Amino acid sequence: MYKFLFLISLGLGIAPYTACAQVSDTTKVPLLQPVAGIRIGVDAFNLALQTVESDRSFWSVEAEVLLGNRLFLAAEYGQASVQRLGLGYNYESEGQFFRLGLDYNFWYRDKKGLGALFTGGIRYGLASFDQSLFFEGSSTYWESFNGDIQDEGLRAQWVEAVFSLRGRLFNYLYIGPFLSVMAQLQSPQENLVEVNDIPAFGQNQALQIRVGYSVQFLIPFGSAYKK
Amino acid sequence: MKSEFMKYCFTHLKRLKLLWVFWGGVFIFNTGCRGDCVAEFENVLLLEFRLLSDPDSVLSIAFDEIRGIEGNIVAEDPVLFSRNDTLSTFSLPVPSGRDSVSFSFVDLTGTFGSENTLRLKYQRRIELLPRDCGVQEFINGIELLNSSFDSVRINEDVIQAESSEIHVQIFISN
Repeated sequence: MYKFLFLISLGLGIAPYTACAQVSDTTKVPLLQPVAGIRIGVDAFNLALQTVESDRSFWSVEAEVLLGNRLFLAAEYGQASVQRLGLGYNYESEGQFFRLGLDYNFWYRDKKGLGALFTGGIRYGLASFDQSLFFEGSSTYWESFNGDIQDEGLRAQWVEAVFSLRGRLFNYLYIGPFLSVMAQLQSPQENLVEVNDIPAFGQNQALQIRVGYSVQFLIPFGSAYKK
Repeated sequence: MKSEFMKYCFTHLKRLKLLWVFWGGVFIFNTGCRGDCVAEFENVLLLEFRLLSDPDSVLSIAFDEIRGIEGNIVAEDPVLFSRNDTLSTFSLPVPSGRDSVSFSFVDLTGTFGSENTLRLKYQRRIELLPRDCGVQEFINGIELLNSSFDSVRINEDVIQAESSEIHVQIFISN
């Protein structure tokens, strides 16, 4: 069974497992260590998704400060928009977001940062955005109404549990999938038009699931990371 | 070396059962949660008439004319109900994009007064229907603005699709 799952995971990202060949040691690794480097990257999955779905745009930059090889301080900033076009309506939601949180690397016993990463972490997310809706209200009796409604300065907050599998593809290039379960802390303000899409969160509901694929470049500090 | 590598990976993967549950969840979420479109519905107020002296029984009643007022009407016939329509429940359309609606009730026999009006206000909430199926205006918080009828009671202040709940009960003295 595990072989089967392992093969599936190969399809999701070969690189995370190439480093498994490194033999772990049993020496004690402190939780907090000096800053060893920073990983900067993008969510390639969602970047690629917008080429398939022309009604959405997305870009983000994610950075991870490596507090040793067990704890990482993670941050992400980006912008996203979505347009929903249908018979008699045109909805748009557009804004920026950031995430901030911590990751714990369960595979910290690999050689420092050179091997695979399996991380679990938490994030706080905040989106600030605008939305607009044009629609034609129809009635068989009263005159039809054409509405053009704009809501600006909307905000939403959420927390996430994030899991990721990453590995080194080349010397300092890390790739791998991640999965996140998001729960809203603060819904957008009550408006005439119910918020439908929140940048980086997705459709406006209590819980959301997000998947992505990180491509990150490591900038090592000092000699903590060797080729 | 190879077996050592596999052993190492499986040892870790055994600890990651929860991750596979999540991946399974994503798969189900993406494939299993899609359904048919929920159809848009036209907001309609349901009215009934009762006697002040016998508030428990609903009247079957007819007016010479029930029509919308204070708004642009596009229907060929602005009269919603006439003397031929003896009904216990009247369905009155609510306009889109407005926060109030008014109706006129004409009774040439003078039984209920020659002409009565009913003015209601309400709150609107506009939502995109799931799966990009359209836009729906939801009406709630229906309140009486004014009326020339003897007594009016808001029985249900929310308009819901396929609900037969009476929104407004009008009590008349005759």
